[in-house]
Amino acid sequence: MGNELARAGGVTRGLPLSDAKARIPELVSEVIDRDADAKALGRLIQWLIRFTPIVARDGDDALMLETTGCDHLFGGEAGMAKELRSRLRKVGYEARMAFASTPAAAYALARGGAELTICGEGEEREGLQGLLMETLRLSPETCQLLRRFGLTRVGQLYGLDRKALARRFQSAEAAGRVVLRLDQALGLRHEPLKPFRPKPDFSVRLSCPEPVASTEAVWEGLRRLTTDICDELKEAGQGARSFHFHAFRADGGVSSISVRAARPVRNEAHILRLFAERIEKMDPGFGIDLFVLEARLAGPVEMGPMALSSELSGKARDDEALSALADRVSARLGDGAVTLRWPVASYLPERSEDFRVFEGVWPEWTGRPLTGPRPLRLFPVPEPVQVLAEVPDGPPLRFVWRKQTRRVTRADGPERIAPEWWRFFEISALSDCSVADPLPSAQGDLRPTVGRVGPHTSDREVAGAAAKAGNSTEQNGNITPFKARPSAFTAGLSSDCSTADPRPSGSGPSAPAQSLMLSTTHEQGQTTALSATHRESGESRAEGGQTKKLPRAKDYYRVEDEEGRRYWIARVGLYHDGRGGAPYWVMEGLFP
Amino acid sequence: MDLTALKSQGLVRPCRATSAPSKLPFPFGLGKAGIHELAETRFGDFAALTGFACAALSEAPPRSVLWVAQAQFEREFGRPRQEAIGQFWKGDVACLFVSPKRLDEVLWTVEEGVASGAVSLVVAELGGADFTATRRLTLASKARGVPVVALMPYSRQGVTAAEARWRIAPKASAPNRYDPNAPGRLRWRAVLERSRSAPEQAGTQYDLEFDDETLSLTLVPGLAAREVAPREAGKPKHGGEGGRPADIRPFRKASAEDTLRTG
Repeated sequence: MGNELARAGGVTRGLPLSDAKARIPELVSEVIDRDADAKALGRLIQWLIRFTPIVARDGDDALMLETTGCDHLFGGEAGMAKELRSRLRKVGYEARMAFASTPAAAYALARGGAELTICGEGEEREGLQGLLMETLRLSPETCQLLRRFGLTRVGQLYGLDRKALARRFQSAEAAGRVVLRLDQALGLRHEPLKPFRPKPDFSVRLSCPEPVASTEAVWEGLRRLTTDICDELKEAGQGARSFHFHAFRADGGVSSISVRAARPVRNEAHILRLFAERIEKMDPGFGIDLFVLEARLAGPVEMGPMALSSELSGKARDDEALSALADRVSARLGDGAVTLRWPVASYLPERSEDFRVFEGVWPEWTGRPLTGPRPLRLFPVPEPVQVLAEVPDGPPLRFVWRKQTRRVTRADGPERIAPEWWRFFEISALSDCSVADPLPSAQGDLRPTVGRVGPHTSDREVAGAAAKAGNSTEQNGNITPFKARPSAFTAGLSSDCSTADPRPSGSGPSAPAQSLMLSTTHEQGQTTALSATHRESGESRAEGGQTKKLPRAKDYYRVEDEEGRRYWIARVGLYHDGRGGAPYWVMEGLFP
Repeated sequence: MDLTALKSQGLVRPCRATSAPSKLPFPFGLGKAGIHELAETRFGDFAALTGFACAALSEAPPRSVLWVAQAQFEREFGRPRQEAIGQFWKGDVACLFVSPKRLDEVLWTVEEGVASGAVSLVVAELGGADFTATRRLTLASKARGVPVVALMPYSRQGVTAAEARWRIAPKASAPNRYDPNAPGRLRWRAVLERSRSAPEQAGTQYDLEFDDETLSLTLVPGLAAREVAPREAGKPKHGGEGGRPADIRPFRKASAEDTLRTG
């Protein structure tokens, strides 16, 4: 790209720099900063909204404005062109302009025509006649081919038989493209614009006779526009959920604020109140000469008779008032500040309640599956805890949380919640072909199990429960122990299970001192033999690579300490589940 | 339609002149108009505090709630779960959650919630509030009839214009009749530090138990083995924690076997 002088010297687009320097030795060159160009173009588009709501980008260096219904505001197309040119010149842009009935014709005329071309409706044929073929947005190869046929001007295409034209091209596609571009230019085929910002549903404008800079004037402009837009909304029988207020400065800048509502609204006072929280962010600069207020996300407004009192109406809540409250809070604290909890069909406690921005819709909380006790407060991120507990799945006896040791007096659990394998496979592993192996076994064994292993109360019962759990595994895969591993491991695992308990089952209670040890110590010391067998069967199957990435089951315990505080502690992972090292403990939540 | 027909439909209620309004029942106006403060006894009692607030309001549960929590409490003590709150307040509660970072934003949001009249209760988890702020909230709350329950950390201090101030601590839970090693029904120790509506009750200590079947707070039997009434301050406890925990409910016939097993 070069300026007028350079172009006159023979510098064209796509010319190597060395060639260009050879043609004009005193040429000054600079590297193109495409990002900065794109940014500047984006800013220009923002600003051009003062002329029309639909502005589209056209390549790297052009803009397309839909002026239908807007040009009369500036005294017709000629007036609009004059206004545009003078304003663009003020901010330092020289522009070539063309007005035409179709985007393709405007494109061609702006590039091939004079500095300013205004092509009236139905005059495209004549207007485009003398233009070069390149202006039709055809590929260089197609243009070259057409040139070989002696077709260099657009007008030459008019008289050609289309079938004959298609026959000259090797591919029907290339011929089709020539015809398509020509039809688009002549308005025989529709070509939609891709607006930079979606078209607002409603839009009102107020131009000032003289630039204003005071806050009161800005507020007054906003007030008038709000009245106008509410009238328009009322006429259409609609409300809008998002309002954007743009102030166009005389010096070519634009300053915008926007507010959102949870439900479609058209209450003037309410909208103004939302804007009042943000109006101070407007920067009037040296003066504002045009205000535009846009309404988006339009929808029907629910209008009903007001209930006299909530007791008589039978409805528990006043949705309209709640939405208005949410709007005001989020206008002050930021969009998305008001949330509600949305029930999700999941047993995982962290997933069962979703955080959602309040949008005027309430979820249905009935019909949730029954679960075990769940805490009143749940930590967003579970916190690490050091726990002293019986191995493999005894309840915590003592734990250190936030540097404080707490002794457990009573405990309940475990409640085992298996990870949701289907989500895991959806998210991460489907791309990984090696998953094919664990998948079938996972489908069989990795059901979303929520089961109680059994209350672990005394040593005797621990042994009993372990034996029971072992039995129930064989009968019913739904209840623990967890078999989330490739089928090749299953044999090794079940032998692990029967021996993982330090006491052989059925041998009666053993000395408690033997079984009470920190879980990590146990993992390193006592189970060496077991892990050795594990390794024998497992290592050949690339166990470290795939299985360790799988999510681990969690065992949740409800415990109470000496001070009466109640916690929800979970052990992440099982011993020898082949999914990472020893299980670890986390603090999940607090009971009241 | 005559008056009796309307009455039977619940559309007209007989208006009874109340003689002595000062005799408020147990929560002493908690969940009615005005701002009520609940504070931790020691650091870490915040979950118990939340639970007590929900339990104390379970008699006449609110239908729509604005829950404003200063972000630090969500970090320190976790986020309140709607499902658990719903278990205290049986039924569908419309709960909006806001968690601003700064205290002034919390107070602004609470006042906005009260002034809007859109919710039937505002719960605020906040680090503290001075007299001016609480007075302002009290006036707004009384004008609109929207109660405010403020949950505060142990470090709260100073004079406020609150209707009542409670100190809450968790207590070892009730014996679990199905599994003696598991925690049972929730118990708290609540101290009414001061109260405008029931000044004679100030300083009383209540040991309370939440019955999750009937959704009601009861005084722990064994401390008051008589009808459900606050124990007078200074009187010795009946029984006590060292002795046999008497898990006897007036409406449930406890078999001798039950009692023996728990002991």
